[in-house]
Amino acid sequence: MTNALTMLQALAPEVVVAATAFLVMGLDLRRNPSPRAQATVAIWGLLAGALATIPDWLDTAASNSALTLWGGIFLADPLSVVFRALACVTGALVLLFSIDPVDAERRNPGDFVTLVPFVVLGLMLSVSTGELLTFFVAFEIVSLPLYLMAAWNRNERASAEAGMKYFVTGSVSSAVMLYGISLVFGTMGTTFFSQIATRYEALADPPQAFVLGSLMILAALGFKIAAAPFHIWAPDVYQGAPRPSAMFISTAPKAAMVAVMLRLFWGSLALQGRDFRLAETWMVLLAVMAILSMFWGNLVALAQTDIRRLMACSGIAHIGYTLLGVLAASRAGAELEGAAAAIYYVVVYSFANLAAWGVIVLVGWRTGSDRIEDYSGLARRSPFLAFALLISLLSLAGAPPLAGFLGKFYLFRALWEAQPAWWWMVLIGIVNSVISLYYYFGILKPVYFGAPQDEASALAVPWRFRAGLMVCLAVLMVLGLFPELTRMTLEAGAAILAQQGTP
Amino acid sequence: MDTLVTQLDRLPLLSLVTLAPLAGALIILCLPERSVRAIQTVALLATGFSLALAGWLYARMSAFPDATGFLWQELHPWLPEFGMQYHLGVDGLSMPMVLLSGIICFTAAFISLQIDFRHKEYFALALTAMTGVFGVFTSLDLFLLILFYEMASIPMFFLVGIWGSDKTGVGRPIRRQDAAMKLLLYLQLGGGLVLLGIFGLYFLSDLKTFDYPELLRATLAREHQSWLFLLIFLGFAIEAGLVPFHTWLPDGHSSAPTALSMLLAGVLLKMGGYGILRVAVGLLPEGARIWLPLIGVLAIVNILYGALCALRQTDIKLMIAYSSVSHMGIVFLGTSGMALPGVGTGALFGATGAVFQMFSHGVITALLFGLAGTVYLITHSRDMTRWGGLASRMPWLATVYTLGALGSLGLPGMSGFAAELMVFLGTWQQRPFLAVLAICGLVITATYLLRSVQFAFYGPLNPRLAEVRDALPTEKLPLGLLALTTLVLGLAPRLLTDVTTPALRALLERLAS
Repeated sequence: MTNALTMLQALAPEVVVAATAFLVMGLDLRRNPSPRAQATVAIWGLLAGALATIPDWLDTAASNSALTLWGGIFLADPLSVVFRALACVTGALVLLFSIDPVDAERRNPGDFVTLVPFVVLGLMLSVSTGELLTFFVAFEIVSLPLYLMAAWNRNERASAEAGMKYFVTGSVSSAVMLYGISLVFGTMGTTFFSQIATRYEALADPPQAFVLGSLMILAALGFKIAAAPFHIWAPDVYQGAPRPSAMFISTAPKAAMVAVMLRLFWGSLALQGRDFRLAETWMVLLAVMAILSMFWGNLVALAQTDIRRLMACSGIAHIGYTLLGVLAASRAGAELEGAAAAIYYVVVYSFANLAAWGVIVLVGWRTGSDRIEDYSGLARRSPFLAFALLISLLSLAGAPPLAGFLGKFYLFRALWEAQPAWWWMVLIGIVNSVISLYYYFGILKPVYFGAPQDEASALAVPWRFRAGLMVCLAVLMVLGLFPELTRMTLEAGAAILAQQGTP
Repeated sequence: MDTLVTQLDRLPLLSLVTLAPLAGALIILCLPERSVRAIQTVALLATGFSLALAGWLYARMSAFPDATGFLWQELHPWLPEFGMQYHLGVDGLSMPMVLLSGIICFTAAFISLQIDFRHKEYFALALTAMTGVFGVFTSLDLFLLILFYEMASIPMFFLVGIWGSDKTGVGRPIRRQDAAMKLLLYLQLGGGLVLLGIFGLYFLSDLKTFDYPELLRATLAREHQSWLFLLIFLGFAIEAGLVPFHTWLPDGHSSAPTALSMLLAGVLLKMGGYGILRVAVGLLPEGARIWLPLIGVLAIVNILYGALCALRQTDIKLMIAYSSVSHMGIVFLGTSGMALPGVGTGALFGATGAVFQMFSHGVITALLFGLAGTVYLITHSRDMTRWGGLASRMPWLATVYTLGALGSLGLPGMSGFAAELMVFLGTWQQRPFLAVLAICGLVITATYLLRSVQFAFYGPLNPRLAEVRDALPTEKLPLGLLALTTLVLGLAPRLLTDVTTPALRALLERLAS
């Protein structure tokens, strides 16, 4: 096999998505652009990108190896395959849910459609790079379009404010990350994940600047995933941004950043097994972030009356649970289970969140309201939408036999496996799950128990929403019963382990 | 004949019992909303099938009293990496509970014919919950058990919230939506504690499996056993209505639609009692020896507090719900004597009584809730003081209610008597003081039950209710079946004890060693 062929195979998904992005952009330049046609092209292009990851999977999953390009700038391994495919599918679903309302509201729908593949491209690069600066650039490709999307309805105060907030906090976090990267580079002389670990091992004393740099990177990633105490922007942005943008912001970047966290910190910066003290510090910080996120998210969600703010709080709480998995992964001997649990959880969270937001987008578009009390009688107005909301919220709440239940189960199991003395954190997780039931079922209460506000008001569900929701629901229901995704996440976790071993 | 039976044994019999209601639910989801008759027929057929098969299995098990271990096991790998499998099987402890579930589910499905709106959703949810109930009793894998437990408890939220009734009138008002939320949160908290305990078993036993027969071989340190026992006991006790974690019970049971009250009181509470015996006592004998004797005190509180609360109620469903709290106390009392050293027969009496009481109380409470709900449907009032003299208008319902009340208060010849007698005999041998207190509870029980009979069915007829009907044939059949079960078990308690004794004896030996 020639080198060029390997390269093409490894990069095929990115090539497909990049080509799609430019094609969609070009379609917008026609005299009579049709945003719906653009969206169709983009959706098929993104799905093709997801399918193009299959050869990488077949080549790397069995042997736990990575197709490495340019000395580690680009890695195609099972971890990147899972998250590249997830980013593509998320982008396709977001387009499916957003094109109808965005097109109907006539706010530059063509441009909105064009931005989505670019975000996906950035996400794909950021999960498959093994080098800090490339990661930074890839993540800026993600962030800039998302800032725009948050401020899309620029004539509305709320949307402009959301865009501004997201932009300011986001750029501060980017700056913090860049500073952290420069400190790491300054002390270690390299930005490659795998080399940082080797250089560090050769040193007798951990340089303080290196520790500071790692912590700054951690804080910046905390901003991106909206983990407490870096979460304050989330509720305002989700509430003010256009609903399709909020849907995108709440899923794709979070999932990708969890993958990056696992790869980056676990592979090199936390230096598991090399320096005990540093790993301990890292675990304490993670535990604090996880517990704060769970409690803040769940307790504040109890008081929300706006479903978008509620979903923001629920998202913060879920990142808290996911960090429990990352925490478990930081413990020697339980890396595989911890990483697999975190990956599984965040994948399942993405689909459940997409389904819930799909309903929120449609209901918000048709009724113009996001108040939970206005969901009263949704089960009468559209049984299908109510069912979709039911399944997605039950999965988020962790009810069996849905995928969310298995996800929580794996997390708690991994955490206990990592360190039996952490059983109290498992207890905190379980208590938080019970708290979250109150607000998830608080949404379902008006949906199923309430009467519609005006009687003869059936909510028509356009076919795009129906198709997208069906896909999400199928994933949530099938994954709960069949363990295939579990196996995939185990292999993705093994990929990080393997990477940790490479010098 | 013999060959036919062997052929049949090759079928996944327990899966058929367990999953038949779920299959019914799936069929119902495919039926159109307006074909109500078809939906009802599917529900009756599915639950009837489960009952018939469970009855047949029960009869076969009682024909072989010496059989020990788990029968009709089914074992399929599911997630071997995590030590989970699809493992079903029954022994003398779970078989009566499976039969009880069969009886309650079938009769509840019949009573559900009273539901008059949103049939499709109702039956789909109720049948799903029923599969959960069966599954808890048939599963031999703890992960599977938790899964079925959640499957039984989550649909209850919707069933209570949508089809339930609000309590108004004298005393604290209860809105069904709030009751549904309360029920959900309590049951989930219980499930969460059990889950944490099961994790402990999984990791601390070093076996890394959720398989029950495997875990029986585990050896755990005394300190671990003590903690895990507390967690698992507390989790299941919340579901079984242990005071002070019982507050979801009166609200939830009284707000639920009739058939769901039957299901909740008839089998859901028993899932808690069964879980304590199966998981907490069965797997953690050391822990049980430490904590079980103390639970006797809580049991007495349950019996007396529940009975006193029931005495104050004028709302008949709330009264029956509090009587459940009181009667579950007897189950706790029987269980608590199991680990006391030296007095073997007392322990066996107590344990058998506890299982007997679970069965008997399940049937009797389902009967009382079924009757109360039917009278509520006819009179549109749950307040007993507003009924009065109904015996002249609905003689059949009045007779059966009297029968049920007598069974509940422990009249000799009814199943309640046999159960309570065994528990009290056992307790008397071990701790006479507790037995005396428990018997005081019986006096209160007799008071409120007889008073309810008097209020509701005798005395002057409320003129507003002059034109009411008696039970319909579709109501007489399930209620009559429940009443008959009570009588048969009261007259021939051996039908039950023959099946339970070998399993309980094995459990006690484990506790003693």
